Amino acid sequence: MTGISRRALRRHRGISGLSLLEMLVATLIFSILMLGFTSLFRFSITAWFNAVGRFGNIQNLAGAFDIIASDLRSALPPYDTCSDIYLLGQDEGSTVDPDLTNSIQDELVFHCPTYTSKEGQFNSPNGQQWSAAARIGNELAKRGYWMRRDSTNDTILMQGRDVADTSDYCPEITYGFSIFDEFAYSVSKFNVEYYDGATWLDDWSTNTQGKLPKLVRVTLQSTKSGAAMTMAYVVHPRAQGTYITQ
Amino acid sequence: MEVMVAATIMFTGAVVMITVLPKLIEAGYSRSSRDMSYIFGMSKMDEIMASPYSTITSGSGSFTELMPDVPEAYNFEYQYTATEVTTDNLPTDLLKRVTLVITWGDDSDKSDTYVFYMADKGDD
Repeated sequence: MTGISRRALRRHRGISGLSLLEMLVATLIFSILMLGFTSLFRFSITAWFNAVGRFGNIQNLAGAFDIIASDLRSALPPYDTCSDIYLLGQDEGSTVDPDLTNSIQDELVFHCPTYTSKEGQFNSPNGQQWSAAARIGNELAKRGYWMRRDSTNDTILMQGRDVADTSDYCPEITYGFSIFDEFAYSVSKFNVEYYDGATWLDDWSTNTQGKLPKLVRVTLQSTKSGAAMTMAYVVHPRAQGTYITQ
Repeated sequence: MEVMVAATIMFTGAVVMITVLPKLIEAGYSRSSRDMSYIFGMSKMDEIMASPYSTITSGSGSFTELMPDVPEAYNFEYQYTATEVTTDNLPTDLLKRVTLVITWGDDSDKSDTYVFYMADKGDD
């Protein structure tokens, strides 16, 4: 009886059982493999988020560049009989226009024919929005680009300013009420430089230079997704002279 | 037996994940690099357009001089050539066709090509 039981036990152990040592070795190998996979997986996920962050940042910047480059390319050159037409760019610490509120970095103001963000609408002095017809013919806009720090939540924004009311004739140019629009989000740097054909300058004034810069370099830094990304866009204002035929 | 099947399934999944993730990451980087290439290309195009007409012939280099504050500028290079457009109806030396190629990536194996025309504005 005792002999049979021992044989059965030995047979049973030989078929499906594992010793403690085997289990420990198997567990150790499994743990090492899982540790490797976990590290690899963590590395992959980090790399994936970096790639997504890079993509998000460049998308954010590309959208902002498209808008400002479109306006800058069509910036109006100075016009002798109308001092209201100008391009003014100031480095951080100076102010171009008091309407550019809470400005914390560079400022840029110029005139250009452009679409407006409120196209088809026209704000009345009491805040009502008039019909689209009132907007027709008001193609010229005074653009202001600057970086604004909001006092309530300390969010840094950049805004474009539209001017609603302009006349067809330059000497009669008048500016209506400003419309402030959020231009780019999650931007932590706004730097504008001006090329005169020989050197890059931090400031520009068509009132003193008498012409538009050859090139304008806009540098933005996006912090939309994780790590910050710095990118620049160089724009050539196309119009270098004004010829009045009327 | 069951343990072996489970382990096989787990390792197959892990291998697939390890194989696919780098391709996804590469795809993300590739797309954002192409967006950057567009920005570099447009900037270079504007710089060429701002140059005097007679000086636009050919050139190559990196973007470190044009965009010194952009770290990615080291990874992109440009090359352009300008040829005069001659047709029966057009006087010579009035129009140039500029081909701009932006390259990046390992061994500059990725590229975008932009073609634009420039007229002589008498700015020499």
